[in-house]
Amino acid sequence: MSESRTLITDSVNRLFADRIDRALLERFEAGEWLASLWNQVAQSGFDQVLCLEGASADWLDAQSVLRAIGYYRVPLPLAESIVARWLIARAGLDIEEGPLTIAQCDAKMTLRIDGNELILSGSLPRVAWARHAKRIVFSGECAGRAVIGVLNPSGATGIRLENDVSIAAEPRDTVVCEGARCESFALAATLGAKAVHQYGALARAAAMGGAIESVLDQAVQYANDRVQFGRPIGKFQAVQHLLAELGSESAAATAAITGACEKAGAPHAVMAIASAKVRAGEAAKHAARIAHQVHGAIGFTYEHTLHFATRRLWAWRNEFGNDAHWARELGAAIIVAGGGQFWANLTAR
Amino acid sequence: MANLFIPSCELPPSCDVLRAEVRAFLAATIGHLAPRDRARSWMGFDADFSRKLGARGWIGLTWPKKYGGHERSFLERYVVMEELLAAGAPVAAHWIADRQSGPLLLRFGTEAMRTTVVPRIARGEAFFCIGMSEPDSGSDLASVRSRAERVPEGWRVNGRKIWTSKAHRAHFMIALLRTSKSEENRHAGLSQFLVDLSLPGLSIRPIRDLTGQESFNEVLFDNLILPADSLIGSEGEGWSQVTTELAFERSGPERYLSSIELLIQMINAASPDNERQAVAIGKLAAEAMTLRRMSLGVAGMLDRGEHPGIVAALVKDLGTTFEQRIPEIATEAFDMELGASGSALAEVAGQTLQSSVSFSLRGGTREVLRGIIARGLGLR
Repeated sequence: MSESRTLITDSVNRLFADRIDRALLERFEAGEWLASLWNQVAQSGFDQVLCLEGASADWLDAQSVLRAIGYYRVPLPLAESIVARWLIARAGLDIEEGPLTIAQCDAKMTLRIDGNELILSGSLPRVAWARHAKRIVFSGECAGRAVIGVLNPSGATGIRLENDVSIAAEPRDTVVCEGARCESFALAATLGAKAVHQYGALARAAAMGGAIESVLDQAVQYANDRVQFGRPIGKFQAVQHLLAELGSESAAATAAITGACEKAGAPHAVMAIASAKVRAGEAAKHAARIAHQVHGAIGFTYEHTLHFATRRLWAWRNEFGNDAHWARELGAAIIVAGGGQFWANLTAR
Repeated sequence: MANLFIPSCELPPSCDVLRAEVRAFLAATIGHLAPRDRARSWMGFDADFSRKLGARGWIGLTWPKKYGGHERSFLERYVVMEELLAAGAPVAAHWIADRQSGPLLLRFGTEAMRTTVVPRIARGEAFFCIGMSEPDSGSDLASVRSRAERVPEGWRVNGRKIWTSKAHRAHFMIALLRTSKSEENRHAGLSQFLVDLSLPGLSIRPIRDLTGQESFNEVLFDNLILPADSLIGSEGEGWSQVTTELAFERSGPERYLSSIELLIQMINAASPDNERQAVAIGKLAAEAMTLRRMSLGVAGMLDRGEHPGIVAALVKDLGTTFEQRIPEIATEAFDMELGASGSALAEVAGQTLQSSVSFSLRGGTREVLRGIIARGLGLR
């Protein structure tokens, strides 16, 4: 690991380990916006991890921060801000400081250029943290060309938010646009019209990797502490085998995510991202199942902290494309290439 | 959890050249091989192919030149192995000798073994089998009872080994035998021996597996006399030596690539517009990409002299699960009758499904591996 990455990893872990506990998560779930936590994150520059000037930060550095979001269950639009700031930097745009979010325009959204302005009509469904975001960075297609654009949800006319939350209590607000004027936009041929969908998926996968590690650590700790039949339940082979499976799933998710982060930004990254989202989703399914089984009834209570990680896993698994969506994308591309190409492509650099 | 971490491994550019050479060789030598033969994977036996591979210098790649090896890197060896497996090359004849017997002899064997036997392995001429399991010793390997006693001529061996893959076509066995009875520590008193399978006092009885093939055997030792210099390493050190050997046995890419021919046939038979098939193949491909990365990561650790212990067990567990999922998913996503002649997919699926139940048994059962992983997680 590079020195700068170790520095980022250590400082992000230290901040969240110090600041995030059950009391804070309960305040968040009661509807509070954690402004002081955001300010600390922003002061440390974690939302800008992919666009630090002069530094050669890459997605492997971002992976450290995204993992921490999952591991410590960070109740902020930090993953979204990291992706948004990376996209606008790559598109040559600029946004002032503050929390951001990302949205993907689907086929039903109309993007129209009027003079030198881009105008949106339609809805952006379930945009993460939209109510707390200073700007929404979106990708989409306008007249056959890929664009990255910026919306100001509180400053523009023709924008309305319909607030909702995920099962992990994170804001997921539908942004209804009726002739909404974008603050800025740029053509983004290299990033592509689905950049938010793809890099949102990578960000969710990377955060899932951290949340899986969190439930693994909690379940191993619990199995060593909890005594039944006169010994820690971790001494029972049935429990050991469940936890071994959870450990393997965690390692597999991390490997897939790291592979995608190494390729991120390159033209063919989408296959590695698809693989990471599918593999992390599969691992999340097993991790949540096993961790709850090992914890027994106490893990099913609101009082215990396990659910702060498992509810996020369940929610994140289905965001920015579920397992089946990404498996279909990956599978269709592989079928078109043909069986004879499978191994060659798998081993290509 | 830190001890689950597998560092990324990037192959050096020299591997690209080697990979291209291996692919060209495979196209020329086994380009004609039928899918059902490729599907036998590393159980396919072809002594002639092994000799050709030896002649190319692709057996004993990492071994010292003075013992017939080629002094190339562990990662170069990894590339050759994965290319052979991906192509379904018939590597069974030399596979065990190259993977574990040769390295064991180089590390613990006598100088005579290193100078006479090891170069024959590297030439693809000496084939090995593994003498570990016995009728009453499967997962509990330390309970082996076959014994070797010192006699004036050397060692007298009595007992039985079982599930010995390819013993009927191999030249040598490395046998784990009891050389003394220890009351308090059952890991003590075990030793390893180089056994020439042509000696009198030894009989080999093939056992048919459920597919009808004779791939493994029972080997009986009836007052077999081994020369005094047949002992490998130190008397009584067999347990620690065999543990080292198992690390070689468990960590390679053959633990996730055994069903790869079926996945290739599924891709060929699928339609990109068939959602069920595309999703099924996409999920398997995601797993293949992940496992290749993990397997390569373990190879990188071995290359740097690190001990992958827990992650090697973990990659084998995930890998064999993947190898078993491929035929399960093939039967769910494709409408076919298993084994139907004339359909490459159905023939390969029928064969792979039947063989696949053994994948989580050979080289350490899933349950044994999960015990190792659990200990690595800090349970016990």
